[in-house]
Amino acid sequence: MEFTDEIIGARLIETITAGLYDGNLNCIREYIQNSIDAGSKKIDVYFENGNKNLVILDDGSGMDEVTLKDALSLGKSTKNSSQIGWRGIGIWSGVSACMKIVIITKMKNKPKFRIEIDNDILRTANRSNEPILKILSRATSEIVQRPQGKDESKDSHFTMVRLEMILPTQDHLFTDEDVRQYLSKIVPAPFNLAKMPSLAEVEKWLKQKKVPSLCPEIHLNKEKIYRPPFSPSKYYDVITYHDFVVKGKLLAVGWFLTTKDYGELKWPDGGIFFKKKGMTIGDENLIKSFFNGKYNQWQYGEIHIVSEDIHENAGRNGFEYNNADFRPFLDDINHFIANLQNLNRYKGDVVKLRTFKKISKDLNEGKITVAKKELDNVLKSYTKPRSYPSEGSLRSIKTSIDTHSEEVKSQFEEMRSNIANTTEEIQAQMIKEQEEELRKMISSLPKPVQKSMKRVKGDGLLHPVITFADALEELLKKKTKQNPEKFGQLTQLAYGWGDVTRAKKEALLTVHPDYAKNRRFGAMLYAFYDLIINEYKHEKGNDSLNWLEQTSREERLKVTREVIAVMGLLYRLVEFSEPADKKSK
Amino acid sequence: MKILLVEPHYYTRYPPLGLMKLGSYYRSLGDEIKLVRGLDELDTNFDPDIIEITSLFTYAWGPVHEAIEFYHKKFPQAKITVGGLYASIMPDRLKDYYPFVKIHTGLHTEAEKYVPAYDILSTVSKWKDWKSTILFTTRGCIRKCPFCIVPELEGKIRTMITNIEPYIFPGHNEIILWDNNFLASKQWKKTLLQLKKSNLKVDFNQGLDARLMDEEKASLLADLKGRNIRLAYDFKSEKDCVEKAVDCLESAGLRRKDIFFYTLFNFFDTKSKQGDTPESFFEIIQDIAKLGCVSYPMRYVPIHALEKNSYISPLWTHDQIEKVANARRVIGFGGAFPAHPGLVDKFLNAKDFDEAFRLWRTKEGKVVQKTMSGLITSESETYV
Repeated sequence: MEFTDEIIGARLIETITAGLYDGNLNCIREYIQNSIDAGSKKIDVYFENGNKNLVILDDGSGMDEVTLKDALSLGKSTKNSSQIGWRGIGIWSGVSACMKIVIITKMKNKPKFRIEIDNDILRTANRSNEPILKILSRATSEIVQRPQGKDESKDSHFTMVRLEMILPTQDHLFTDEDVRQYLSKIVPAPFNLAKMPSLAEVEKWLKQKKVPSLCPEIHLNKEKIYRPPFSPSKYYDVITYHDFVVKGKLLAVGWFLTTKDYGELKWPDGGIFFKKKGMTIGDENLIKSFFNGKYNQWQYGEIHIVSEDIHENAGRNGFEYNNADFRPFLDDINHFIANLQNLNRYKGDVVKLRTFKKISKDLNEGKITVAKKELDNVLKSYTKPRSYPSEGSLRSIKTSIDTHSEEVKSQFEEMRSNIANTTEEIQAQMIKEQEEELRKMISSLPKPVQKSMKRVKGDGLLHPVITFADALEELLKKKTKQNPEKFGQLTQLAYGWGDVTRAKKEALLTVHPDYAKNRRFGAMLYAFYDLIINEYKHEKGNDSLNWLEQTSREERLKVTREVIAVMGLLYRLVEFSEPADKKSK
Repeated sequence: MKILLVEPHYYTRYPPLGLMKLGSYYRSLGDEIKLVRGLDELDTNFDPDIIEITSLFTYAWGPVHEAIEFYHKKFPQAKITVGGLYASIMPDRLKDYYPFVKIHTGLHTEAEKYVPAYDILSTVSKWKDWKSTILFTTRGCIRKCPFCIVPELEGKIRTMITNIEPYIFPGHNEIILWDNNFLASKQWKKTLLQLKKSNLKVDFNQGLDARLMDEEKASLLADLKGRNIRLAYDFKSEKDCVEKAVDCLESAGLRRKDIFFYTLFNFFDTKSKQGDTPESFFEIIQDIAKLGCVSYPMRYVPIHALEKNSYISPLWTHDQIEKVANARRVIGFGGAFPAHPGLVDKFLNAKDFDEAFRLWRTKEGKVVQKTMSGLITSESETYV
C-alpha cells in the first residue's frame, strides 16, 4: 500500500526519542558522539542557571545550512560507519529531557546558524492525530543566520547544543554529580595517569592493538573528565590482556584488573565495559546479562570491539543480536567470563580473605576458642588442591594470587601462634586470681581453722579437709568435753543421733531446739566428714581424691574453695551449738 | 557575541527581572552575557557587542542617563538598547538626550518566555544572596484604573505561564508573583494548587483584587506559606467587596492583622476631574481600622513624574500630605498602620482627617507618643 503523511502518527516521535533511551542522560551520549564525529578536540559540557540548562559545546567542524538540515533528518544519516554516531537520531535525542533543544553551529569561513526545537509541541502533539510532518514543522524553527561578535573570528568552527529548561521530572537526573559519573562511564575520556600511572601500559597496549584512540578533552563545568579506574591499591599489579578471536578473526581486545580485596567491586572500581571507538555500549550490566552463570564483579575491565562486523544497537545500550557474527562472539565472551569467574573462585579459595575477615572479627570480639578452631581448620585447608583456569591469558596473574595467598597464610599462622601465647597467659592469670580468692577465703575462716591450715603448703591445700577435720574434732571435743576415738562416736554423743531403735538419747549439744533437726545436723556433719575423709576407702587403700587430682589446676582450685566454704559453715554451726541442758533451761 | 546587561544604580528591592530574562534569551542565541549594576569598571576583558540597559520608574531616570553616558563612553562601538518602564513611558525624552541609543518599549515578547538567568546575579554584590523566584503567570489586567500604567503598557490580561514548576529556580525559598491582578487570571486555581505543591513561601507582591475574592480563593490562599495577604482599597465604592474579602479570608483561617490594604491617596483624574480627598482617604483608613486590618497608604505619583513625591493633587495640600507621611513614620509601623488598639482608637475617635493624623498636642491635652512597646496615649505628658 502507499503510505501518506497522515498514516504516520505523532506517536512515532515518542518512539524514536523517549522510547529509544532507557535513562535520559543517554541523550548526552548522542551529542558527545556527534561532537566526536565532527572531529572535536575539546568538548565542554556545562550547566547554566542552576541546573536548568545543559550545554554541550565542541570545537568540531560545525555545520552549515545544508549539513544542519541533514542533521535534523530522522532515521537517516550521512555518517559512514567509521564514525560513532550513524543512526541519524542524534539531534532529536534530547526531546524527552527538556523543553527546548537549541543548536548553534558554525563551520570554518561560513556564517553562524541557529535552530530550535520546541519539545513541548512534540510532547503535546503526541496525543493528537495531527500528521507527523506538520508537528515536526511546527516544532522546529527556521534555520536562522546569527551575527558574529567582534571577538569571533571568521575561521572559527563549533557546535553548541543547548538543552534548555530540563523538565522537572528529569532534573533529579541532571545533577552535576550524576552527569559527571555518566560521562566518565560512557565517553572516551583518557585515564587519570596521575592517580594510576600503571594505566599507561594499557594505553600503550591499546595503541599496539590499533584500538582507535578518540580521546578528546571533555570537561564538565570546567573540570576534566577521566575514565576509571582510579584506585591502584585495589588491584593486583598484573594486568590481564585478552584477544577475542573467532575463526581466526580478531573481534575485540580486552584488558582487566583483578581486585586484591574480598567482595564485589562497585563502579568506578569495578565493572567490565564494552567499548566501540572509545564509547561505552550499555553499562557494566550488559556483560552480566550475556553471561549464563553468576559472575562476581571482581574485575575492572574494558572490551574494545575492533571488528566492523559487531554492531551496537541504535540505543547503544546493547548489540545487534541477530547479526551472524555476533553469536560466535557472544560465545567467546561467555567462555572468557566463565574463565574469569573460575579465576575469581580460585582466588577466593586460595587467598581466603573471607575467612581472614571472619577470624579477625572473632579475635576482636574475644572469641578466642572459636578463632582457634577456625584457624586450625583454615591452616589445614591449604593442603587441598585447587584448580586454576587453563585460559592462557589468565596465567600471568596466578603468581600474584599465589603470592597473596602465601601472605595471608603467614598472617593466619601468626594469628595462630599469637592465640597459643594468649591462652596460656590467660590461664596463668586466672589461676593467680583464683589462688588470691582462696587466700581471702581462708583468712575469713575462724582462727583455729586458719592455724591448722597453715601446716600445709602449696598443693597440700588440696587436702585441706584433713586439717579442717582436725580443727573440727578439737572444737567438738572442747564443746562436749568427751574424748572418743572416732569422729562418728563424737558426733553421736554431741547431737544424739545413732541407734535409731533405742529410746531418745540425750544430746550433749544443740544446734536447733527441735530434737529431730538437731539429730539430722549431727548426722549430716558426720556424713560430710566421712565423705571428705573417706576413712573407709583410705583404710582399703583406695585413693579417694583420685578424681580431684586428675583435674586441671583451675578445677582443683575451684573444688577446694567450695569444700572449704562448706567446712567453714559446719565449723561455725558447731561453734554456735550450745550445751543441751543449758538450752533446755 | 557578548552582551552586557546593565542595571542602573537606582534604589530597588528587586533584581532586574527583565535583564535576567534577556540574559537567558541571549544565551539561547549562543551569546555570552554579563550583568552589572551601576557604573562598573569591568576589569575582565569583556568587550560587549551589545549593551542592554534597563530602567525603572520615570523619577529614577538619573541613574539610567548616567549608565548610558558611562557605557557609551567606555564601549563606543557597542550598540546600546534601553528598555524598562522609563524607556517605555518616555521614549522620546530618552531619544532626545541620546539619539544613538535604541529604545525598546513594552515587553520583549521573545525574552519573556525564558526562565530568568538567576545565576548571573551571583556577580552583583547587591543580589548575590537573592533566593526568590519572581513570576508573572499573567501579564496585563482586566481593569483600567485611571491611576495605573499597566493597561497602557501591557493591555488586557493574558496567561504567560500555565505550569510554574519548570520556572522555579532550584534552591530558592520563596515565590514572588508580580501578576498585576492575579485573581483575574483564568488559571488562578491551577496556579494556586501549583504554588501549594511547591511548598515555598508565596508573596503576591502587587496585591490582590478584593473585588474578586471569594471563599474558594480565600481557602486556597490560606493554604499557602506566606506571612500576609495584600489587597487594595483605593476607592470608597469598594467598601462592600473589601468587607466580604476580609470575611472570606478570616473564615479561611487567616488573621485579620495579617491582611494588608494598599490605600491610594493624592490621586486626581484629569479626565473626570475627580480624585480622593483627605476626608475620603481618612474614611478608608477608618474602615480598615474597624476591620482590624493593616492599611498601607500609597501616595500617587503621576506616570510621567520626573521627580519623586513632588506632585500634589488639587484636592490635597502639601501640609496634609506631609501629615500622612509623618504619621506613617511616627505612629506607623514600617510605613503601615497596623490595627494596634491605640491606633485604632485614635482613628475611630477622630472626628476628621486633621485630628486623625495630628501627632502634636491638642487643645484637650491629648498626646500621642510612640514607645518601644507600641503605642500609648497619655493625658499628662507632652510630646514635642
